[in-house]
Amino acid sequence: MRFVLLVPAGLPLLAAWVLSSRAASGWGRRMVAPVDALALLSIVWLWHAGVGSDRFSLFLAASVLGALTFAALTSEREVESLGRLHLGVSLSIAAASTSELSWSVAAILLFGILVRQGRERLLYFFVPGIAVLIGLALILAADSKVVGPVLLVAGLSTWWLVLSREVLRSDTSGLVTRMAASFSLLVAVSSVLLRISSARIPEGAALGAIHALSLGALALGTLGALGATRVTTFLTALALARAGLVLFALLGGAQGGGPSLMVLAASGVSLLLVAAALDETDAIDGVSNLGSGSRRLVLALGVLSACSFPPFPGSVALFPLASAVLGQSHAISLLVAVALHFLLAIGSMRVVARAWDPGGARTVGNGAGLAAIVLAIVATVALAIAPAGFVELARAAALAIL
Amino acid sequence: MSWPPASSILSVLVWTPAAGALLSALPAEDRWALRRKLSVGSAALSLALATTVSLAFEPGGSPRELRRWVPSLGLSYDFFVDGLGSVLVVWIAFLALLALVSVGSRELGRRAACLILLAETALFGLATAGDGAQFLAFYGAGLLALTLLLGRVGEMKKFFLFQAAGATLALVYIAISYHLIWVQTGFPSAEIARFPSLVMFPDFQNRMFLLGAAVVACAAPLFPLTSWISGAASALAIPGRLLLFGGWSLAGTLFFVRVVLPAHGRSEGAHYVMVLAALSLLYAGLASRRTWAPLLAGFQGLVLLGLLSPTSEGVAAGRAGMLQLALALTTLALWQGDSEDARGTALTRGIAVAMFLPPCWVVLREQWSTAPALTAIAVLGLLLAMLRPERTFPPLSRRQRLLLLPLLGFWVFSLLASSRYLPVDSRTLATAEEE
Repeated sequence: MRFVLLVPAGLPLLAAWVLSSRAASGWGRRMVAPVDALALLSIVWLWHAGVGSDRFSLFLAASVLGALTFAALTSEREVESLGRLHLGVSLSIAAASTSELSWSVAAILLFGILVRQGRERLLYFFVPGIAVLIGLALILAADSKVVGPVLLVAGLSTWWLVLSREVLRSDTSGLVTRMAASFSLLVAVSSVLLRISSARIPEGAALGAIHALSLGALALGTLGALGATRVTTFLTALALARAGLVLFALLGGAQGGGPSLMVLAASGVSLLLVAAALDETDAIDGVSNLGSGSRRLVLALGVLSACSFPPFPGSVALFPLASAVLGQSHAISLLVAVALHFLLAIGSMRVVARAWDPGGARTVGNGAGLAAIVLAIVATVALAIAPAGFVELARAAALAIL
Repeated sequence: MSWPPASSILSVLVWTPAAGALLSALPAEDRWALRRKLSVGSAALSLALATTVSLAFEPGGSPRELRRWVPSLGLSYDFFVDGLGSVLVVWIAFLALLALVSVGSRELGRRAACLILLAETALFGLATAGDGAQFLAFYGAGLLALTLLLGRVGEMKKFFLFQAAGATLALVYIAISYHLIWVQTGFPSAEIARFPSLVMFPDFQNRMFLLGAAVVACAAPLFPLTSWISGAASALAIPGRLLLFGGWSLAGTLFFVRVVLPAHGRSEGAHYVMVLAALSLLYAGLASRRTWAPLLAGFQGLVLLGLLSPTSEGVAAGRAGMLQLALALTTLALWQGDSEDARGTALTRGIAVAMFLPPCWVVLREQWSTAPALTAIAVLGLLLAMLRPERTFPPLSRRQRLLLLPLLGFWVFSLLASSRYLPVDSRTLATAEEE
C-alpha cells in the first residue's frame, strides 16, 4: 500500500470509530460527513501535489470516498450500516492501492465479511471465496497463467455479485448506504481485475473468462432491469449491468483502461442517484407515486446515466470504449454488448416513464434531498456537459498501471 | 453578411429555448400567464435569432462555432449552418412558437411548456451539429423530451422502443466511424465532415450504408416500423403533435442527410432502401384505415427516394421534401384528435397534400430514368393515398384557422428558397458555372 494513502484510508476508520462510540448522539453523526469530505480533499491534494505518483490508486480512492461522503450526507439514520461502510471503504482503498495481489484479495474478502450482516446462505459465499483463494495460491505458488487468473477473476466477480445481491435486497430503506457498499466493493474488485488484465492475462482462456463474465453480467443485469418488479431487484440488476460494462471495457486491452475507469466512476454516480431517488420505495409500480419533482428528476438522471444514454453522464465513455474493443477485434462481442445495452435502456425507461406518468397518485411526498440534487448537478456538469477534466483524470489513472 | 470565425450566434440560438425552459419552470403551477409570457418570449427570441442566421446565410460564409469539448477523445463542440440548415432552423423556431400558441394559456401546463422548449433546443442541435457525439447527445435529449411529452406510460414505452433502436444504431454507426478515423489518421475524431474521407472496402461501405439506412427506417419511420405512430398521435395534445410530426419527423432523415449520404452516397445498398421507400408509399395508399402511420411512412418514403436520387436536382427535391413533409404534417396535426365524428371541410387536407406535391413531382421525375418499376410503385401508392375519399373531418377552431395562415406563408418561403436545398458539391459547381 502507498503510505501516503494512509491518511485518506485512515480517516474513514476515524469516522467509523466516531459512529460506534457516539452513535446515540447527533454530534457524532454530524461529524462523519466532514471527516469523509476531508479524506476526499486529501486525495485531491495528493493528486495535485504528485505525492506517491500512483494516480490509479488515487482515482479509485476518490471514487469510493465520493460515494462514502454522499452516503454520509444522505443516510443519517443508518448508523450501524454506515459504520460498516466506513470500515469497508478503508479496506477498499487498501485493496486498490496495493500492488501486492495477496493484500488486495485479503482486503476484498474481509470487506465482504464485514459488510455482510446475515449468517444464512453461507455456501453462496463459501464457494467464490474458496475459488479466489485457490486462484491466488495458483498464481503465487505455481505462476499459473490460465487457471489461476480465471479462478481469481471468476471468484472475485461472483463474490461481489453475491454480496451485492444480499446487501441490496435485505431492506428497502437505507438504499444509499447499501449501494455505496456495493460500489466500494466493485471498485476494489475492479482494481484487481484491471491490474491483472494489464499484467497477468495475456491471451487465451483467461481472456475468454473476462469475455464470458462481462457479457454474462450485462445480460443478467439487462434481463433483471427489464423484468424487475421490486426496487431492490432493479437496483441489483443495474449494478450488475454496470459491472459487466466495466469488465467489458477490459477487453479493449491497454486502450480500455481509461474507458473502464470512466465507466466505473460514472456507475458510482448513477447507482447512488438511483438509490437516493428510490429510497423507501418498495415496488417499481410505486415509482409513479413519487410526488417530488426533484426526486423524479434525480431518478431520471440516475437511471438514464446507468444505461449511458446520451447526453447523460457516462455516455462520453462509450466512444473510446467501443474503439478500444474494436481495436482488439472483438466486433461481435461489441455488437452483443450494444444490443444488451439497448435493452437496458428500454428497461431503464420503463421506470422513468412510470415516474413521469401524469396519472400517478403522487402520494410519496418527501424529496430527493439536497445532497442528491447537488450530486446530480455536479455529475451532469462534470461527466456530461464538461467532461474533459474527468476524461483526463481517468486516462492518467489508467496510464499509471501500464 | 459574413460571420466572424468563432461567432457564438449558433450557441445562443441553440441554448435560448433551453434557458426559456428553465425560466418557464420557475413560476408556480397556477401562474400560467407569466409562464406563457416567458415561454412564448423565449420562443419568439429564438425565431428572431433563427431568422437572422437564415437571412445572413451565404454559401461559404455561414457561421461556424468550433471548440474543443473533450480534446483527448477528439470530441468537439461544433455548430455550423449549411443551406438546408439555414431553412430548418427557421422552421424549428417557427414550429415551437406555433406549438406554444396553438392552445390557450391554461391548457399549456408547466411540464408541456418546458418540454416543448427543450425539444426545440434538441432540434436546433440536430440541425446544426457538426460532431457525431454532439449529434447523438441532441438526438437523445430530443427523444427524451418527446417521450415525456407523450404522457401515457404505454405510449412512452412504445415510442421510446423504436426511436431508441434508431439511436442505438446511430451510436454504432458513429462509433465505428470514430474508430476508423482514429486508426486511419492516428487521431480520434467524431467530426462528421471527416466521415466521407474514410477509406473502406466496398462491401464494408455497403454495410455501413445499410446501417445508416436502418437508423432512418427506425427513426423516420419507414414501413413496417410504424406501430407506435397512431398511439403517439392519440396520446398527444395539439402542441405535442405539432412537435412530433413537424419537428421530430426530421430527425431520422437529418441523420441520413448529414452523416450517411455524404460518406456512402453511391452505395449498392441504396437499391434496397429505395424498395423499402416505395413499399412505404404503397402502404400509404393501401392501408385500410386513414391514420397517421401510413401517411408519415409514405411521405418519408418519398423523401428517401428523393435523397437517393441520381441527380442533384432530385436530391435537392428530397431535401426540400423533408421540410414540405414537416409542413404538411403540421397542417394536419392542427386538427383536434378527439372529435373524429364531426364533419367539416376538406380544405385543410387539400392544402396539406398540395404542400407536398412540388417535391413529389421532381423526385418521381428524376427517379423514373433509373428505376422505373420502383417509381411506378411509388406513384401508384401516392395516387391511392391522395385520391381515396376522406369522409369525416373534425372542424378547426378559430385559433387553428388563424395558425394556418403563417404555415402557408412559410410554405411559400420554403419554395422560394429552393437553391438552399442543393447539396454542397452541386451548389459549388453551380456557382463556378455562373462565374
